[in-house]
Formats: sequence, C-alpha cells, structure tokens
Amino acid sequence: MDNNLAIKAENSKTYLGFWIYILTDCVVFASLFAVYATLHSNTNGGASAQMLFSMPLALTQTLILLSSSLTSGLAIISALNKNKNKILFWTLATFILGTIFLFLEIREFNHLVAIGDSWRESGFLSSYFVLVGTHGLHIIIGLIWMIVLSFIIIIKGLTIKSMKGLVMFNLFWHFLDIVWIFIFSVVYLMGHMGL
Amino acid sequence: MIKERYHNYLIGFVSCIFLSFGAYSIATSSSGKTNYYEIFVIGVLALSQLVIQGIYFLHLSLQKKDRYRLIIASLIMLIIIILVTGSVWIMNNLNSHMMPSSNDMVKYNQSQDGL
Repeated sequence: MDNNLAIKAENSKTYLGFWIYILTDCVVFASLFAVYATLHSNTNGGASAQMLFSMPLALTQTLILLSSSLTSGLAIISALNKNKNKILFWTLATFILGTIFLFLEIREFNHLVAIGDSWRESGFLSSYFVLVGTHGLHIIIGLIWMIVLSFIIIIKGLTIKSMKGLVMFNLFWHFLDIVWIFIFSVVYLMGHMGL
Repeated sequence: MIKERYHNYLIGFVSCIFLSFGAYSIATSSSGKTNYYEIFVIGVLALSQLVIQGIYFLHLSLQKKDRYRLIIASLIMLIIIILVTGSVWIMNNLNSHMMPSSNDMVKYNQSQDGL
C-alpha cells in the first residue's frame, strides 16, 4: 500500500505546501466575506439580496458543485486503484459539472447586469460581485487545470508527478466547494431571510 | 483502505446534501423577516458541512501523518475568525457612529447658528 503513487503523492511535501497555499486562499475569501458582511445592507436605494436572488438556482448550483466534489474524489479512488481510464472519466465528469456551474453563474451575472443591477449600483452589489466573481475565477482556473492534468495523465501515464497534480487538484476543488457552501449560506440563504 | 475511503466519500456527500436541503428549507420557509434564531441555525449547518467535508473529503484526522495539516488548518481558522469577527464588529460600530440618519443631520443643522 505504501508504494502506491497516489498515497506517496498525498504524503509528499508538495501536498503539504499546497495545503498551506489553500489555507492562505481561505484568508482571501475570509476578507471578501468580511467586506460583504460590512456592505451588504448598503443598497443605495436599489435592490437588496432579498429581492434579487433566485433560491432554486442557488440550490441547483450547490448540488452541482457538491456532485463535482464527489466525482473529483472518485478520481482519487481510481488513482488508488491505478485505473487510468477511470481517472480520466471522473475528471471529465468533474469538468462537465464545473462547466455547468460556471455557465449558471455567468448567466446569473448577465441577468443581474441586464436588469440594471450591475456592480456599479451599490456597495452591496460591488461586494457581491467581487465575492462570487472571485469564486468563479477560481472555478475557471480549476477547469483549465483539469484540461492540463488530463493531457499530462494521457501522455505521461500514472507517474508520481501526475499523481501529485491529481491530489492537489482534488484538494483545490474540495476547497472551492467549501467556499461555495459559505457563499450559499451567507449570501443567498441569509440574504433571502433579510439579514 | 480504498474501500473505507470510498465509503467516506459517499457518507460525506449524502450528509452534505441533507444539510444543504435542510438549510434551504429553513430559509425558504421563513417569513422574510429577520429571525436571528433561524440565521444561527443556518450558520451552524454551514459550519457542520465544513467539518464533515474536512473529515470525509479532505480526510483530516488526529492520525500522526495528518497532524501537521490539522495544526496549520486550526491556526488559519483562528486567523479567519479574528479577521472576520473583528472587521464586522469594527465596521458596524463605525457605521453607527459616523453615519447619522438624515433626520439627525437636519436636527444638527437646525441647532447650528446661521443655518
């Protein structure tokens, strides 16, 4: 078991270093949450969170991202089983779910701008767009990473390097899911309840 | 060990779905008036999802090989708690001290000579 490459990758210093990066990224999101918490009631006479957000859409996004977190974990299980095709299959599934999530988010942004609630209207909308937009940006980076990772696995096979990439990507993707849970709870659900 | 991890993923996934639906149904069934009890419950549900994902997805544990990651994570959580509660506390106080309502402004102006 100990000479399993995926396990080796998870016990490597690279993985620990990436874990530290993830936690510093947490601080970025924590600051943006603090900004949102400060500004969310400054609507400048415009729309508030309660009027603006569609709850079923937010729940759909949550479930999609949660499922993509699961499929990304299943890719790790396949890596432990040294099954290359299954790794690629689950990474593709994660990619598709991530793309759907990103599509829904961009469509919501488009909709908000179209009805005249862009980031220029109020402090609330600025902080909302920055917080959710930063998360979306991370998702875009994750999607690009998945493409690169799949090519590396296809070309080079299951080496220690590609396994390190896979376990780090998996960590990154779980982290994005955790951040989204807080966006879902704080921005959408608490916004809907009029906090 | 692989099987155990596979089960962990499924347990984490199913319980996160339940918690998400729970929080969602509390929010959508609320009256639309701010109810701090319900908001507190939603916060607790979000935090329990954080813990569940930490244990079942990021497989954090008290085992020796995970201990460093757990220590780093706890320290960052401490920083985040100080950062967020501190900012919110200070900024809310600033708001109430520095942004008088327009009513107060009118009263203040009227109390001044020559205005």
